[in-house]
Amino acid sequence: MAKKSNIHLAIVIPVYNEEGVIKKVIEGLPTKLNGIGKITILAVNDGSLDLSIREIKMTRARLINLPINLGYGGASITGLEAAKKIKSDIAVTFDGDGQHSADDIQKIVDPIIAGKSDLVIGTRFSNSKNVPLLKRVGIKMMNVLTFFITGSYVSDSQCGLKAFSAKSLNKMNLELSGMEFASEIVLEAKRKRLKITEVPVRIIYTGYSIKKGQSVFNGINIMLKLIYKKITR
Amino acid sequence: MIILFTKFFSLILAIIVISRSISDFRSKKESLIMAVFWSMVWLAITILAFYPQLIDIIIVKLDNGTGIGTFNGIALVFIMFICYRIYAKAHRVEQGLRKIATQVGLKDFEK
Repeated sequence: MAKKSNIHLAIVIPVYNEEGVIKKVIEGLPTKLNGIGKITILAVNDGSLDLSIREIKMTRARLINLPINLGYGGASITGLEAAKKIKSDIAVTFDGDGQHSADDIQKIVDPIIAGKSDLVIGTRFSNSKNVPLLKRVGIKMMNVLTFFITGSYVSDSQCGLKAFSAKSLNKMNLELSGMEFASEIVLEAKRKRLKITEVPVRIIYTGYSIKKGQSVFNGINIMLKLIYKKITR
Repeated sequence: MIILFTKFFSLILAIIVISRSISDFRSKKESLIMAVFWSMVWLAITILAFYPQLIDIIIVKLDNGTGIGTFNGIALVFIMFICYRIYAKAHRVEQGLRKIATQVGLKDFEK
């Protein structure tokens, strides 16, 4: 890792049809953080059918434009690949629908800056009263499923706010395109013996972000893909 | 005659799947565990095709001996083959597509 003051942070934002919120989300991201020398925002347009590209171009973010809609995982992987290309020391994934609080970025990069962790996963369950019941049940089910397949239990495996050290970015072999990407990260971290830390974060639930969230029934597809990866890789 | 055809058909399918698994393993498209897993599955299916009475024995235990076991066995062999090939192919296509789209996105990003 570079000297503390020279640490380069890349914030990866997968964007799919977020024209209504993406500009505000990017503008709300920090320009300075403790222990970070440089911040680059990488907005990955995942084949949006609306005016998301136009909105991104009006901000300070660097645009990565995917020719087709790959899904949450595919867009995130592309952003993380770009983070490697620009030689960032830490990469953070941050959802484009405005459900994350920009104030939490400092909290999730701190364990990596301190050299205590390779992968930091945000958890919304420090104050679970804030989480809608159906969402809470769905996430808990996904946690159990992720545990059975990966052998690692994390309290919020589906949280989109994560921080990766350069070491973990280079070691992990991420390849799943859909929402199963969130559990795949845990699987790869376990396989590559990376140190995982969980940090409490705040999720801002609005009608918009709940509508954009994944369906509970997507769990079957996630399970199939993870099992396939587990036995074939 | 039907029994002979079933045996022959299952053997051919098993040979295709097992040789495909070995070839995929050699070209590093498939892991050793996966190649061994599918070889074992198809070996078991072939044994059942050559000794369909084994299926009857199982089915008799399940449905009081209506003798429908052999027919079910043939159907299962075929379904198994189709499912395996579709899933493996779909997975590979998806991975290929993801890699190409990522490369295109990053190529424009580097400009």
